[in-house]
Amino acid sequence: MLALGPIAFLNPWLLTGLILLPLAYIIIRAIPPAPRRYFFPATWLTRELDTNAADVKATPWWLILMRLLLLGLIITALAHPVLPPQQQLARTGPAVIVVDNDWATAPDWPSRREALLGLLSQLESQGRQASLATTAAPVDGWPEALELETPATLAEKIRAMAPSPWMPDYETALDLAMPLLAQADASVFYLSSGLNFGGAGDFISKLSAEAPLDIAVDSDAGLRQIAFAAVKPSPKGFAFLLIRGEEAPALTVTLVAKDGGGLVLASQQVEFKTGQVRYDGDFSIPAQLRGRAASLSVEGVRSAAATYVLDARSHRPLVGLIDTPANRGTAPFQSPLFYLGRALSPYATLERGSVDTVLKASPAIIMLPDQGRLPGAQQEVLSRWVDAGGILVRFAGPNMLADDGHVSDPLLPVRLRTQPRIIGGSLSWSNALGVSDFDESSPFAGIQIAEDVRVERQALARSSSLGSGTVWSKLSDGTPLVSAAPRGSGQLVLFHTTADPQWSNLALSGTFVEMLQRLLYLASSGQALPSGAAEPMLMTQFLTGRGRLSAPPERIANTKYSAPLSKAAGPDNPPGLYENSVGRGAVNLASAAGPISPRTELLSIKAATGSLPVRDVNGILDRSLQPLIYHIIIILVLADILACLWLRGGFQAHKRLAQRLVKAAGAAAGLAAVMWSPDTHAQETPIAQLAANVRLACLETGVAAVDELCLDGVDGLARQLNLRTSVWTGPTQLVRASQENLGLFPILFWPLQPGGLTLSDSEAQRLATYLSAGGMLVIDTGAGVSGQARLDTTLGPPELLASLAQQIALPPLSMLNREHVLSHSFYILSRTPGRRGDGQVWLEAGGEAQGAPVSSIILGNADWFSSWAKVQTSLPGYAGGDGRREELAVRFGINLVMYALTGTYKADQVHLPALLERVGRDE
Amino acid sequence: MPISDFKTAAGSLLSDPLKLRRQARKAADVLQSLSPSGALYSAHLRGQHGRRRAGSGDSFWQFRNYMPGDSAAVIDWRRSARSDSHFVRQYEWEAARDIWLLCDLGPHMMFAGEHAPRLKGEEAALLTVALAHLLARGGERVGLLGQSHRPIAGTYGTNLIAEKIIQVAQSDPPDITALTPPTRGTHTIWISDFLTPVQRLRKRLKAIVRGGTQLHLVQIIDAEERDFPFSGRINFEGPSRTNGHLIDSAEDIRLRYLDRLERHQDHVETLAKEAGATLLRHVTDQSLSPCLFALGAQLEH
Repeated sequence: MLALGPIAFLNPWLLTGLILLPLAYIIIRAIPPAPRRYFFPATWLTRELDTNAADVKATPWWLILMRLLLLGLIITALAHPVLPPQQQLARTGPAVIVVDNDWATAPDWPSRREALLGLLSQLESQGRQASLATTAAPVDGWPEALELETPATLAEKIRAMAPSPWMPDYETALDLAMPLLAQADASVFYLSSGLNFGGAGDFISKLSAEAPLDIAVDSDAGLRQIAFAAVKPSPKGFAFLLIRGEEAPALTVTLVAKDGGGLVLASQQVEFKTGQVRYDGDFSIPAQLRGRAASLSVEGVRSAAATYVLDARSHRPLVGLIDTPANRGTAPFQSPLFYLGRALSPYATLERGSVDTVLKASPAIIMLPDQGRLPGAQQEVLSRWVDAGGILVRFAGPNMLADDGHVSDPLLPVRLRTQPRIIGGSLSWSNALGVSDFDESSPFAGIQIAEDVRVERQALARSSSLGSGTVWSKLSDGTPLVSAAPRGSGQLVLFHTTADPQWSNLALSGTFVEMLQRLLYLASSGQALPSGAAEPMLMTQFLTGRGRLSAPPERIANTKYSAPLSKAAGPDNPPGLYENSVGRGAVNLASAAGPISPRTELLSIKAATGSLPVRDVNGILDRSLQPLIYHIIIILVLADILACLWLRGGFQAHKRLAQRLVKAAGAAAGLAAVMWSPDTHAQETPIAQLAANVRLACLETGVAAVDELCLDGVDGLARQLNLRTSVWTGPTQLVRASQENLGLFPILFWPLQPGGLTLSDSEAQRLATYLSAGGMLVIDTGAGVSGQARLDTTLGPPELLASLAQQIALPPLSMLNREHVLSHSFYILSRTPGRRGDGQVWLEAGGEAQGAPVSSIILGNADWFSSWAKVQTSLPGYAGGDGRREELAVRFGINLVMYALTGTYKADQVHLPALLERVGRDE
Repeated sequence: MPISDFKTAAGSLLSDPLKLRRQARKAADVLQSLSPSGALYSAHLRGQHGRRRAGSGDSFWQFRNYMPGDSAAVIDWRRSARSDSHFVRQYEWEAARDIWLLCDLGPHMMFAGEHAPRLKGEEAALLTVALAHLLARGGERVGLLGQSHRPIAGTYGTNLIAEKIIQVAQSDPPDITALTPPTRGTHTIWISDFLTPVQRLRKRLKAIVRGGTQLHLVQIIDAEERDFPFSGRINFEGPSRTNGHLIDSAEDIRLRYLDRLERHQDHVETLAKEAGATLLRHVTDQSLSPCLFALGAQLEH
């Protein structure tokens, strides 16, 4: 590695290539850009011009400079220049890389790993040794001590490393790092998760006291610092509390519930506003799916804290309450079902109804209060359900003992005496009894019994039958309060008192609720409850730092954990699923015991760093200058191409393309302008106005008198058209051949006079386009010679014809005859007179044929304009001529317009009746 | 045209006699329609033409004094009676003329500028065949100089010419100085670009007119040759395909080129005058009609 000022080169030996530059200079200078090759027969002419050495230039100096720069840049780019962070240039001693590897680093662990590897390759190129210290205990446990290693071996370790699913332990980390920091020249990189879990400030100040410290944080880590603080069952599904780091931006995440196989069962969106750090919500999930949910997680955020492993405690089991005519009672608020419902509804979904209804809902547990022996069929199905693993909880009561049915009831754990035992009361010597503490072996173990619980009546078990069951709870005199007995693979449980306050106030106490909860848990786990501290648990599924359940690592799998469920998650009590012979349960980061509780706040590290600046992760890495140089190279290459094109006159050669592009851009801009103009409809464009009517137009000749004559004449014709035909014309226009919108006029009149109008090339071009696109040009020379069937003499002076032929590509012409459509397009005409005699009309040859194209050019000499004008005005200038001739001229004009507008449409049928009549007359 | 186009420029008109004839006929028809009764080519050139000199014919040419040796039968007595001397009535010599066409289709003619509709050679061939067409309709005998033995009248001659032109286009250009020169009394229409060095041109002109024919020159050039609209670094490569002429910035020499071209055109005009020939100029991007018009007018005289 070679450092030149602030820039360092990773492949400095390639810079020797710069020696080539002078050589390249000579070569480039000698070879100018290739010229355009052009075939040009008159080359001998150009050769005779004095274009010798002076004109043949060498490569221009600026092109040489540009190419040399290009070459130099390519060589420089290959040498891979980098811009190392300023503060690291001088350091040489060992580097201790302290990295946060707690759950908060898990979502962006890959980028963190890349940053670490980048840092290591940088250290390697600097020839420094390094060591890696984690702030959270690695999954395999803390190492004995840290050692300095080469960056290469460290890189292997980093690739194998995974984030830990627990909190950082700054003190242990500091203790491990201290010996290394004491070495001379040591410096520290601290790659932080961006969060301070308490103690980070102290940790940082101690680190920086020992060695120069660089702190880096992934800039968008804040997006992913999200954790469950609590998850509880709720009537809809799960109530959850999500917390985020400080200064968090607005964020929408999706919560998903998955089953054990990873299948998504339900999802819900959660929207955080900017700066909102807590979100208290309710995750809804259909009751039938709830039992299958194995975990709740924030989609896209892979961390142990963004995954909550569900166990029986977090489920709402489905509890069946069997409603019989006996236990329903008459007053709903006095029914045991009401009390049970109130006690269970926060923790369970209730299904109330007959045996059949309840069984259909496949409940986890069924409660049957105060009911004697069920009718045969119902008892049958219920016993089958219990045999298959169901738990039936029954409560005693007056109805149960009302008849002798209970004696033979198979769904009772014990045999009962027929009469209830009355404890206390006016006819009793004794007072009502309390409940004695639960045994360690009881499922209710650990429940604090409210002191004021008193039982006044009790369904007494026959002592002979007690052996068949287990007593889970006793009254203070030792008589059973709750007895249970297995049946098949299920369980029968009996509360020897009522579920309502009739026999005891147990149903009114919190103890009752807790007891029922334990029963629910029993039902959910499908097993007997894990009984307290009795048996240590083993981990079956380990929650990795990235929030995935997997087989536990060896160290953890071989450890026996005692009562893990009630302890905070950490290296000694890793999160995941545990089980023992009696039950199973999950340990999550979010729990009442910690480490994340509803009170937890995710604080930013920035407050803890003191005066030390916090950089972006990339801020401690070298910045490669290669992309920048490559961009410059590409720009230079493009500039070189353009320059060469320019030198070859390439722009000239592609001028047409360029013009088209410019035109297209202009058109697009115009279109955009039209579309954006606020009131397009309010102001009609001239084109729209022009197109609204049929318009006749005169071609401007530039001679005012001629133009006037033409306009007057065409106006007169237009008026007659409006009078006699269905054609409704707009005002007559004077147009120039150079005009854009010639296509809007179906017919153009051109009074052609000697020396009157010479069309420029572009005008002739435009006129030709107009004609080829279906336009019609009526040319009247007004020469008025008649008689001879010769165009060159009849049209007027021969040079007129010659000049016309030069300006317009004339088609082969023929004289108008009676068969031509023009002769009967409206009137049937045999003559086409104008002011100057009968005149002649020449048009495109072959127009008589069926389906012939409409002649685009009509040549005449009779000075129709004057005749038409006479009809319109009685100006003195147009005096003279006879009326019949003018009438015929007008008729011919109308025929002209009709011919222009309708073409050869129904050419032979317009006058069919008249023609038929004539045929008849001729015969 | 870019050099790559030159290599592929076959000139479709110059390989397809039918197409050539069709287009030529169209060009001729335009003219015909303007003078349907054959104003230019038919009326004045219909078969028999006044040769503007005394000879056997029907039209009166001039009176001249009786000279010894004239037969007494030729004396116009009515005219002689009005004066003292005897006059002889002479008639204009009228005959169908022989018109030779010479169409230059050398490699230097195989050029078209970027906006030109066709190659110079195509234009020349088109003009030749259209002319032959018009002339044949007018009753003239038309032949292709160097290819036909003698001029032939009628459409057959025209068709023959179209085919021969294509043969010419596909073979090496003939040496004009070696051709048998047309004889006196004939017209020769030579269509070329005349963009050859003056010495060579003079030699050829002389070779053609040495038989006494009336020569008409039609110069066909391309708009690019006339305007030199180039710019940038261009290697101009001539028809001989030897090293081109490299010009660094073509726009700089434009004026000099135009000047040089004008001088050359002046030379051509002088040469034409020396040879007693008329000269017409035609640029390929213009319509053929004016050129045909003008030619017709020239042949009339």
